[in-house]
Amino acid sequence: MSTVAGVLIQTTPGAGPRVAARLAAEPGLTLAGGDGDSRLAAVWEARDGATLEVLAERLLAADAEILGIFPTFVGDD
Amino acid sequence: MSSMNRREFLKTTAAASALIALGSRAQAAPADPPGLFWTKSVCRYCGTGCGLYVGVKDGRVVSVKGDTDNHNAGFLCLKGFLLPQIMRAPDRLGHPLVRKGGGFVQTSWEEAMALVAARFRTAIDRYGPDAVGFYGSGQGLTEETYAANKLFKAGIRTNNVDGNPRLCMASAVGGYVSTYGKDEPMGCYEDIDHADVILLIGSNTSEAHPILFRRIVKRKQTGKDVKVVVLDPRRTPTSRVADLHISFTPGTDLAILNAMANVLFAEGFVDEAFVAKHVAFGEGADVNKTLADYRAFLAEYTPAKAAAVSGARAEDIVTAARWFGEKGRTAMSMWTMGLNQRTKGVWANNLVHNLHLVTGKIGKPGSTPFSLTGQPNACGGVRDGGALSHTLPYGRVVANEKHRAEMEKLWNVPAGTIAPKPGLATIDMFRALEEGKLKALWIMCTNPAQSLPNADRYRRALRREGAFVVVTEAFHPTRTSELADVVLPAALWAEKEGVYGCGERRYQLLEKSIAPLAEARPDLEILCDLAKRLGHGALLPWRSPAEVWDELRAASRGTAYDFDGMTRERLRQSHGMLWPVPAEGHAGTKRRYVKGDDPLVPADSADRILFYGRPDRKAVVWLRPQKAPEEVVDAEYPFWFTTGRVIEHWHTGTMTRNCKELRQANYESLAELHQDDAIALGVQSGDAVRITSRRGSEVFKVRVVDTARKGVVFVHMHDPNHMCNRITIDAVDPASRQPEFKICAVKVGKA
Repeated sequence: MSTVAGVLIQTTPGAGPRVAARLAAEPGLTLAGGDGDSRLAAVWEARDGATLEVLAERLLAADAEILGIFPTFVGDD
Repeated sequence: MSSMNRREFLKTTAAASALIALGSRAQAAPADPPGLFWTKSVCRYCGTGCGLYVGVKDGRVVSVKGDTDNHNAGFLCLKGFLLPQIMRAPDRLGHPLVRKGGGFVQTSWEEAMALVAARFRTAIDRYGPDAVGFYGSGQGLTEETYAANKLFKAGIRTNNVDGNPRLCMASAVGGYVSTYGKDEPMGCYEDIDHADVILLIGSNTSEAHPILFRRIVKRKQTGKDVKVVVLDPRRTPTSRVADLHISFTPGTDLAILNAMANVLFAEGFVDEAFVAKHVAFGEGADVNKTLADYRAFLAEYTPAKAAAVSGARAEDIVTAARWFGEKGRTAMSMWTMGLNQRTKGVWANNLVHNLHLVTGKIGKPGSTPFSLTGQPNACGGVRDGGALSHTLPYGRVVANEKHRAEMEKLWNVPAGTIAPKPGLATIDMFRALEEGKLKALWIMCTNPAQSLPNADRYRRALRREGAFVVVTEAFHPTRTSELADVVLPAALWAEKEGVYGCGERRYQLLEKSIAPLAEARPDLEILCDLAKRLGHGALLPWRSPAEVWDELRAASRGTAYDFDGMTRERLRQSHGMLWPVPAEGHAGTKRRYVKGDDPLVPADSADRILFYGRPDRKAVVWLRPQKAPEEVVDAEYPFWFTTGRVIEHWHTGTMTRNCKELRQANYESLAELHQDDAIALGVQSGDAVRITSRRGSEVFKVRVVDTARKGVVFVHMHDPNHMCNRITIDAVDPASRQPEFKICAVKVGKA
């Protein structure tokens, strides 16, 4: 069982590329696109289906350039 | 579908959905798997009212997706996305329970309802109709709330009908009614897209209304020099987009708002023509003051004085006022519980309206005072539907003879049926239960034994000898159902059909997607059953929620809420409609009181705006002085205590704590402390502290944060095992009867 989520990551203006670079090393997260400025599209895979929210909370707390993480899809495998 | 295929499908769908949200159409979503169908609905959580589709397969809710044609543009917060998990949660209640001996036993509907009807009948016969009461919810469907209101006010003949919107929205109602003569915001969410200045006061929008926050962020990033001002004692995540965050001592924001008005006058930001034509002035309850009186009143509220009172910086107050008042720019205010949950809540609301009225920044795209709502149907079901102890449907009040006569005619009951005296508001209702005056209470779709302030007092009242308490609930046990005499299993969200009305006057239909769990029934069915057993079946004769809706449309006809043109079929086809909608051909009203938009403003009206809610066709600027909260800190109780929301959870947690992802984050309420306070107390993150007020105490683990204001302790409200409301105060605003959840005095010590 695992969880797969589509998410839109909203950053402060102009910070999209910087945040994308930092997220590149984030386990389970695959960047799918961005608008080059402040929004990133990503697919997030969490192994046990219970860590997605923890990851989101950690990123929101740790990265001041991330303003919000909005799921666009959540599904269980 | 094999595991690999399923996984690939999920990844493709996830990527497509994210790219579509980004605005890229490069990757289309794959086709739905066989057997899956979608029904249109609305999110079950906050008052934003996000449209969504419920995915159903094999009779079960398996997925949701945002409605791209609705105001939320397809976005949902994580809570909304995880709604499928609540439908089959382990604590879903499927059968009636009756208390016998020391515990509950499962019983039949017949036995449970016969007992309930007998106890209500006995209470009414022995002690009169005011010996019983109904306590409802901003989460019930409009049709359900209306049925309860009609049964109790016209059948049983008691006005003891109230609901949890009294705990969250009553002061906003008081603000709108006293200022404009009519309740509910005049603007709409689209105003965010046109706002040059956004004033957020007493609202952690980022966490409590994340989809509206996303819209604010978008406006901030795409508009020209858009300014966001946040007034909040805490530096919440909402402040991340703020150009200016003003922190202040809890309870001093009335001084700040008056000082902002002072600056508007001092620096020439007042729209004198608008004021002369559209504004009256008042003090106390009387509209008997003048512009000169108001200017004299404001004279003492200099930024320097407000700064001294509040602990904010005078220059920040001046900056906020200048941004708000700048000519040629639009300004939108949004607020929620930080203003409403106060003993001066109505006054605080009035002072926000004052800023719009003196600058004329109202009734234009991007200029509007907008109260955000916490529950999905507090507006549509309870406020608009008149299901509070002093109200009747669609702007009518029980104290008004003409209004009672109108409802008696609509309800086809004899003249004099509706009692002229308002019933018991929430806190008064539970105090009457405590005193033994209220003998039987019906609680629907809410959890007051956790959500009431000074909760232990009212938990004892619910178990008082002789009190009979019925709870209809989808979940058991809750902190309320555990105290009940009878618990009736209620159908939940996608298991029934009905209408929700969200914060922007948008009414939307929730279609039934699946059958109720086990023996659970929609609350409408349960109330109709009760009515029959009490001899009032003719009052609630409906065979479907759609029939109730037709009666509601008739009740709205000719009122300021008129949605007669909002037929069930139009609701089914649309993505929500904003009232007034007086005729079937009408598309709905984005902005009330505005000529050319609001159908209730005559087309030949001389001005662009007409405040038709009041007899003089003017809105009122109220002279409201700074007043301290009911309880202030002192040597014995030196900390301010405040409560609020976090993004992962909602209200008392009965739903969100059933979602496995949400259980991983912010599950437990923690005491957020400023680092200086933590050092002074000799505690650090993870240590346990006992927080004690004059009413009660609770133990919490500490989280030391750099976002707290020194001397202020924050705890979230969603944890049934660490209940913040053991501590909060049950003092109420004298006008709105809303309690002051947001402010009390406590002491903090190592546990």
